[in-house]
Amino acid sequence: MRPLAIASAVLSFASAAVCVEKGNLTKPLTSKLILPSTFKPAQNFRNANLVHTINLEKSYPKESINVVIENVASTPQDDDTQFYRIHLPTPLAPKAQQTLGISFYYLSALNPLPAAIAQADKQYLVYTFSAYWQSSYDTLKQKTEVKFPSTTVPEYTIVPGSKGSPESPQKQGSKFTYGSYGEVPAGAVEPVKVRYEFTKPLIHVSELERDIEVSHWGGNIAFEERYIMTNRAANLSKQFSRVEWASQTYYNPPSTAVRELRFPLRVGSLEPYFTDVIGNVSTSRFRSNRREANLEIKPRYPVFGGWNYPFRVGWNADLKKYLRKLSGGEGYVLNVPFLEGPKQPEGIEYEHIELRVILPEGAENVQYSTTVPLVSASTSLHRTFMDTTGRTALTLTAINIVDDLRDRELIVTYDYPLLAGFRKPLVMFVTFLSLFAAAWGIGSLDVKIKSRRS
Amino acid sequence: MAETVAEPFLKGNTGRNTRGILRLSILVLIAAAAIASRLFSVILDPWFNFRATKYLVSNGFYDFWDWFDDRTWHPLGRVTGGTLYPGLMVTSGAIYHALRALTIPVDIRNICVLLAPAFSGLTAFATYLFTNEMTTSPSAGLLAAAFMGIAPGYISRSVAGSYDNEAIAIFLLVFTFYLWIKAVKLGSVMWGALCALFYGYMVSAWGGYVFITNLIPLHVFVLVCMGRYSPRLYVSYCTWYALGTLASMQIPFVGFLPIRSSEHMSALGVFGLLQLVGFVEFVRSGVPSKQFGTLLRGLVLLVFGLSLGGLVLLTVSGVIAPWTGRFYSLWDTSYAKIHIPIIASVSEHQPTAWPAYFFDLNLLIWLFPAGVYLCFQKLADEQVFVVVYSILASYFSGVMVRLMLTLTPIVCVAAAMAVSSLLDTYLSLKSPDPADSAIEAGSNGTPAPSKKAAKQDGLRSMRQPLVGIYSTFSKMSVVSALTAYLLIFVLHCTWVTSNAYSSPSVVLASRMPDGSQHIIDDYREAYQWLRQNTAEDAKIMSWWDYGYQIGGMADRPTLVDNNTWNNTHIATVGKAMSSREEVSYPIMRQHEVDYVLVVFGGLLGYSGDDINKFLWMVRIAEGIWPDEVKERDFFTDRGEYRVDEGATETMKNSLMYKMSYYNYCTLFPPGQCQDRVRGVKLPDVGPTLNTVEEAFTSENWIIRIFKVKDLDNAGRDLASAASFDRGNKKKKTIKKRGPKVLRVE
Repeated sequence: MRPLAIASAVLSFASAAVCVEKGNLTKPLTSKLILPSTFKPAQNFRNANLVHTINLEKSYPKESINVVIENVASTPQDDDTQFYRIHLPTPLAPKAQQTLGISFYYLSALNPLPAAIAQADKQYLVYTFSAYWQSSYDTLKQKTEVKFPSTTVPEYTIVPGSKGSPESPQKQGSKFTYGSYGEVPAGAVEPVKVRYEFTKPLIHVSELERDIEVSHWGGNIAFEERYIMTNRAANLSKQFSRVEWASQTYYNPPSTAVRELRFPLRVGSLEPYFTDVIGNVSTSRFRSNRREANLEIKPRYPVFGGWNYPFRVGWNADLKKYLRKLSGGEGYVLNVPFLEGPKQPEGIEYEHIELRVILPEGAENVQYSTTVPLVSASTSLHRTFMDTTGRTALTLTAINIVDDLRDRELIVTYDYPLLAGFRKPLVMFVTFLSLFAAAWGIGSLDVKIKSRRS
Repeated sequence: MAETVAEPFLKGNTGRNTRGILRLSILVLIAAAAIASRLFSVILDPWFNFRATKYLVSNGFYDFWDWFDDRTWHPLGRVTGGTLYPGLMVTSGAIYHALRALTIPVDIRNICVLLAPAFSGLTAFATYLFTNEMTTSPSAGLLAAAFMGIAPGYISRSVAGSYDNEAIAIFLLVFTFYLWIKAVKLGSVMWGALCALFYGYMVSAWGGYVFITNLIPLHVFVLVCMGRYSPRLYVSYCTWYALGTLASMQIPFVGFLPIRSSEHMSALGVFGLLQLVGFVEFVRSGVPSKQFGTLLRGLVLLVFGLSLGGLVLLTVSGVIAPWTGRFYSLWDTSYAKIHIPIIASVSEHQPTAWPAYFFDLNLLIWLFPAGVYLCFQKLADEQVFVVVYSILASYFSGVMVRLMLTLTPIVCVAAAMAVSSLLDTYLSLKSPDPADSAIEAGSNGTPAPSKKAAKQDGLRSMRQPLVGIYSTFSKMSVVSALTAYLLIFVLHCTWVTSNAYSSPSVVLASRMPDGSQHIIDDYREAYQWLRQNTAEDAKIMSWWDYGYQIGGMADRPTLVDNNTWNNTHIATVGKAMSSREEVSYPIMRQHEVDYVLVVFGGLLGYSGDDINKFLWMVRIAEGIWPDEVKERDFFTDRGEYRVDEGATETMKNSLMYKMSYYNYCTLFPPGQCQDRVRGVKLPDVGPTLNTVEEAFTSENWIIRIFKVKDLDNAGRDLASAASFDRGNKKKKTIKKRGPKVLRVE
């Protein structure tokens, strides 16, 4: 069973918690503490009622928990040391209850079984979880619901009924329910394994580098994203057969291969490009009108399970739609999506995201805020086209993100003095002036060895 | 009226400045046109040079010098630093670092792509300088620059993305010649040394430097034979030869060739000859002419005898390399076909067809003789150079298509001289006034009339003729005709460039029924697949044409590539492709081949595929193993090269045939299986493969990649293992059923 301590789970708050308000403002709120294995938090809380929902409809499991917690200690408790520390919005009075909604995702948790299938075969995935929610506190009442993408679930663990509770799971279409269970002690585990059909690719991006370059002079904002993409789906048991693929694409049946990626970009995006290490990939389409700007790219070959396809996409947009000048002073506010990756019905998981916001040369006092959980943030200088001091670059790193978070915003504020904007033209002007002056000076020197004949 | 307004700008000091600015802006425009016309489509090729440049940029110069590349010519590897001309990579590396220093972060790939167009702009400028040395007409240089900028013969090797040695070499060629002319004219050590410097650069950039190595001595030799020996010649040639040879020997790939190989002997010989002539001239000035005659005769005989004896001795003893096959093939065009199939198999080594001249040079080709003729009008040392260059380059361009490139500069120069002399004559607004022209011709008239005067000085009455164009109509008609020709030339160049020379071999473009462009990108699809989804050190066997591309785009080791000189190694691949599977498999195992890549155009009608190149593989393999591979076996009894039902058994059993047509017929309904390149119907039952299995086939079937099977686990040979796998059920069912028995009850 995966311990909750591994940071591979992403936490977000359904109830507007303090955390969000404090935000990731300029300093990421991540701190990781290695706890001894014997660590057990003080038993000050109790889970009064818990509903655990596992959603397996996408290529990564999404789990959400709705839990009513109760302070069973005699003193008011305001925090709860778990593997994830949860800050409560207000201190919880004794005997008082509070409802928490926690949702998180596991990356690379679904594995195909069998691990290799034929090209046209169906794929089955295996997921292991616990029928009891793994909490550090006692739980009075709970159930676990599993949503499958289809009703084809050939294998699953059957938990025998006890203490009056019926045999689990109860099936309801594509939804299985384990429980409900009565009181369960802290840390109890009831392993459950399910195997279900999922003939779709498991798109895994091990590294995404996203650059956002702001140009005040050009009135342009340039996006570039570099993906290292792998398909985690079942490998091909035999070699790839083009004949079969060609006849198959005609009917377009579900397949574990990645055929196409769709990027719904912001309206007004321009000049997209799609390249890989060899050069331009000609199989892309860009449809742009007043209502939409869809970039549809096709990898050079269908990406089957175990195959890789690193690529790079980029586009431009009008800066006015993203940048606003603060009234008074030299401050600017930039509002860009944190993640604009492809939107696939099966979902995409990102192991590591590095987002760079390259601000113009001379931008200072950079502040940012986003609801995407970050692991690190830093400001550095990025030297490029004829910079003298270098541009201010804000680098944000996030790990273990899924595409559910793709519409989250990133707000960056910075100061950009007027003089900084004129630095480059001035530097160029002075350079060329001195160059010409030097050329004139050298040209008017007489270095002939011959004696001057008048 | 307009003239009077413009007058102050066209006369005196201001006039010179105005003309200078005009000339400069025209040259800049020509360079811009030269660059722009090369940007039709951009695909980097050949990839090896790009790969080498990346290596140079990331590892530094000294590592590049010592680079041992174990990813080519597997299993031999290649001492790359010592076996290439580093000029191209070093140039782009230097540009890269210079731009970096100016904080302009340009990707090295962009530099490589745009290097050829940028240098073609420089070539146009060098042509301008070169032509200006040849003629007094100021317009000839500009015309030559414009011709050079857009002549298809040069564009063919310098479109954007064509990152080959020729990209910079043609500029260096023309510029070296310019410096040489300058040196000969002035007899200056400085220009001679500069010429040697650029010659050294040229040596580092292209194997075609041998052309300079032979042309300059030839020029000197002709001048000496014409009795034009002068101290100027002595100084410039000796400076160039001594410094240039030393410079060329700094390139590891060239090394001691300049004093050992016979291709360089003419330069050495002329160097010696010049010393002798210089000595004789010196003696002549001190000895009375009678004794001098005897002395000279004796000296000539002695030296000739000695040098011939020495040369024969050195050649026999092996100090001087004997003439190479490459050299012979320059003189006898059928030599390569018989003796070196590997050279003959390259399309650009074929003799040039006549239409190619018109295709590549258009109107220049008929102006060219006129320009050369004009050189005879005023035959100074530099005009002799043009004549010698034209003769030599004309011959060589007829031998190999590829050498059209060396002819192009001189054609542009000569044609520009012809056109400019025509324009100078017909474009002057003034009609010659009899009295006026008498004075002019006497002193310094416009070049054209005086030339005509010089030509016809047979008759005394014609010595100072009143030659000139009197009627405006004839002026107009000639000038407008010429303008029309020039415009057509521009149209032709644009058309040729966009249609013939800008279709990169890697990407095929076609039109969809609705007129939109459809790009067939199978090569890169397959290369990207190889790069991403095979082991890092998986060895790929393919015919050598694709070696560079696999090495660069797919980043996988190859057995042979475009620069493999080891004929046996290429023949080995040819043998593996043209033999039966049982023969090929051990060869592939011995060479650790993991994948075999073949190009198959049958589905799309792409004619440059491996089946069409197959006979060359057979021929090259036959050259090494005449007993095992026989070209005759691939032809039917009636002498046809067939791939359909009537193909010979050898053909049908060859690995190449099997891989090309494996599984192909399953695409078609029964009885309709067709090869669209050869235009034949194929048998419904395709070939079976035992030792390799299909790993990847690109979308339009152009590239097919096969994986070489590992040895069988049960120790059987692969053929019986495969037939066991295939025939397993069939045999059993037949056995179970037993023979059919007729019921009689």
